[in-house]
Amino acid sequence: MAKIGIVTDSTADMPADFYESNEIKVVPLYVRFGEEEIYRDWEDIGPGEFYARMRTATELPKTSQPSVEDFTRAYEEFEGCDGVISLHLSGKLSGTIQSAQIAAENAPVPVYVIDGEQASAATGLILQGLVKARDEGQGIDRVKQIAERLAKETKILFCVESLKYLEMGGRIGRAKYLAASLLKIKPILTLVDGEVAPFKTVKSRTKALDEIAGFSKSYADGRPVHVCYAHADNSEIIPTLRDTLRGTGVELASEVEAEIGCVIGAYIGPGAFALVLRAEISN
Amino acid sequence: MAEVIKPEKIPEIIRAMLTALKLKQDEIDRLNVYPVPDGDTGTNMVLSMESVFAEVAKADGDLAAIAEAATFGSLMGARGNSGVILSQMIRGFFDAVADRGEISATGLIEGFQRATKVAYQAVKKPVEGTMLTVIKDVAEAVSSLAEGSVTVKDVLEIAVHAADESVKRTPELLPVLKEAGVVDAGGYGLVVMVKGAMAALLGAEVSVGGGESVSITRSIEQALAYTYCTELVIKGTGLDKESFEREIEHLGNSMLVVGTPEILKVHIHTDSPGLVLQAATAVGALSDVQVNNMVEQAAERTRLINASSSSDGVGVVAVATGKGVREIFQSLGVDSFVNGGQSMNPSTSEILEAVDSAASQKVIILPNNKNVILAAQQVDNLTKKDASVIPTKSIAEGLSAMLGFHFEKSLEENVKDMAEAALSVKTGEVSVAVREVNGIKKGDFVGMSAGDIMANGHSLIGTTMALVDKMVENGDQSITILVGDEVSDEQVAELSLLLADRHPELEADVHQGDQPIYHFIIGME
Amino acid sequence: MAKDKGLGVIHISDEVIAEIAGRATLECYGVVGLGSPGISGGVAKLLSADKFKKSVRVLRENDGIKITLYVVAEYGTNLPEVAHNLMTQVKYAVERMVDFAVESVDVNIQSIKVSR
Repeated sequence: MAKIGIVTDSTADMPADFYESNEIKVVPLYVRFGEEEIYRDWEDIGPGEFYARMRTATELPKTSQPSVEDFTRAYEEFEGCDGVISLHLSGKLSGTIQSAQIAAENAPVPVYVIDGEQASAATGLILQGLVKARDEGQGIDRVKQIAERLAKETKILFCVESLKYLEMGGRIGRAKYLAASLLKIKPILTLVDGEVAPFKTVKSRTKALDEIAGFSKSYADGRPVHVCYAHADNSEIIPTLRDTLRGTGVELASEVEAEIGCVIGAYIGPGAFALVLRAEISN
Repeated sequence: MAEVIKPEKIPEIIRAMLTALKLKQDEIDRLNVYPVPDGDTGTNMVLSMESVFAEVAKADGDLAAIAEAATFGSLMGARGNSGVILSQMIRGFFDAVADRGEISATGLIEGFQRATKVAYQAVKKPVEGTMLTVIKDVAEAVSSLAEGSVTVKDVLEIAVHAADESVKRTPELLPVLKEAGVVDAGGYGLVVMVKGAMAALLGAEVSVGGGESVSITRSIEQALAYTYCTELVIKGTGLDKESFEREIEHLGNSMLVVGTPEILKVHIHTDSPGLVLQAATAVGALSDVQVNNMVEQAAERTRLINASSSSDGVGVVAVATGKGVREIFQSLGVDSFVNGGQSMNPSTSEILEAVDSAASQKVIILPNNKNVILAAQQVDNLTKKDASVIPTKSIAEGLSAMLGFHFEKSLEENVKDMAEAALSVKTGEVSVAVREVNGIKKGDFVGMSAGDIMANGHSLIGTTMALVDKMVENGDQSITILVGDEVSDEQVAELSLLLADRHPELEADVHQGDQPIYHFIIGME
Repeated sequence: MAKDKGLGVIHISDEVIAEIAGRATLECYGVVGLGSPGISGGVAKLLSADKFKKSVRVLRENDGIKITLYVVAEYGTNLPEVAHNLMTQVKYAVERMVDFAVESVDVNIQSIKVSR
């Protein structure tokens, strides 16, 4: 086992083999339909079944953060390590990080809980960089520093079919005023300081993709960029999104595809898609 | 589910209450109108609870130690009025449970009861419609459970419900809230905290709801019993305060008369300020008369609360006519309107007036007609404010410009983004020829785009479709249609069907615009 | 007290100001009664017609008003914070009602009441 442990939560929305091959411990959030049915995100329920039910359900699914005990058990697995980096979904969107923090205080190893101030595959791309730093044999303090810098560097843009899920779920943040629009709009959103914020508002998907391409170019600014194409029950968009990015001339250091899981999906709704960008940070 | 609350669970619960407050901090700040509208209630409650949490997190072991830490933390950390009230509630609550080892349902009920008692005893004249009312209503609601075999979850559930209901009634109890069209900030903060505690107990995600806006009372006109806030000073000799109160009290509410036999200061909310003034002149000489329209004030305040917490945001004035058109503009963030459009161009002074009365110091003007652009551009020289014009030539361009608007951004960024967004749309307009031109008969329909006649004919729908056909280019994906005030529902339905059939690639967004002159205004991109 | 509002000179007596300040004081959280200068360890005063005479002092200075308050506070509250809230609330109430600048509000907590 590595001397540095990495723990995250299920909302990083990376494929299972990524976690497995990189020895990342994933603590699942919970997804609830009504009062009775409770599932562990990605373990008991996957996106396929989830979105199918979401489209027909009369009541919106709810999500719950992992309990303190869930994290305590995860941290105990790393007893004897130099320390654990525990990277999580934005504290403005979920109480997950609180459970982690409480558990960290009494863990048998030093645990550094980091609020990535991101969501879904954006957390995933931070993990990607984090694994690299760990595998290079960096010390715990350095890895922690790198994680914090990666979190700042990562950007996510996402388009939703409707703002109603974000609004009803209480996660609409600074995009709240857009929900008032009487016109049909296609908002492009992002996360600013861990909170949902509007990026651009357009009327058609073509325009949305134009905006995304434009942002990607200015973000990259000549640097190679790791990207992730992610979707919520909308796999048809992935080739278009990929072609859009490849058409910008931005040098793509790596490309991955991801499916947005149940927890984030519960707030952005089916049909949404996202692009995550992460430039390599200089040392 | 939880039967009792163990001491070790309490830090987690307090943390959840704090988190819930932080999530709603800005909103609570904006609700703050009483006792002093300084917009800091949310911040004060968060700071106060942070101190409680910090102390509790340090305390070891049993409930007595935690109770002492919570009380100490809340005393030392109390910020603002809400913070001091909160500290009394916390003192009372933990007083009731400290010796119990753990918090049972009965303990919780007694905790709420004692919190209420201790909170009320620290003020000579408790003001209802505040946090005090909310905790009292919660205590009353849970008291009914005292005899049954209930769990702490049951008690908290009732508490959440009671708090929710109670805060909604606060505008009825405290007129200053009703005037502002808000519920009590501290009371709402309390609701948020109880919900946070409930979430922690259930192990659920802390979320305090977002969709339903319990915090801002909707229809202001209905909410306000009286329209005018009337204030005046009466000077005279031997003025009788009580008899004057009797004289005017039937004219309104929120009456306040203070003073001496030589001078009285009068405040009343009424629909008949004239009658109040009459009554006053009968007993003495008037001075310092102020009559304010509260409906307007409240509407303004609600708009500000909704729009932004920062007063240095950017406002937008649009030249537009038609109820529906205005509603759409408003939904996208336009603050005020100037009447105008084709054949009724507003003057510079009309636009200036709208700019000057806007709440923001930085104002963007959308002329929405090429004949208005020049008049709009004069405004910046005449106003003390910072005014910029986006030269929109049509309503469709104006709406498109609003998609680029973002009130949190600077004036310069907005001007750039909005001008760019305005250019992304093509405009079409369908109207009736008022005289014979270019072989088009008077009374025929005319479809124009970019200043050119693209289609004409006897049929409204036929002409409109011909215009659409000519406007469509490769890559266009959306069509926005504003329906004029002379178009029938059948015509709209017919147009929608034809559009879906002939241009399935266009996502249609059809709205009643109620504009005169133009039967249809079309935006395409 | 006089102020020219362009329509003539308006006089507002110190009593009016004292009454407004006094009412705001009694509604301020943490204040359980009024005190009087000179009487320390004092008891909360009963409310009478001239209730504010001793407990609320109004002084006119230059262009502003100076208000001095003598109050009884509740045991176990954060006294500096209560005093601070009281200053803000009284200043706001007076300025809102009479349209005069309040230069300062001095708060004297004369005694502490212990409720049981």
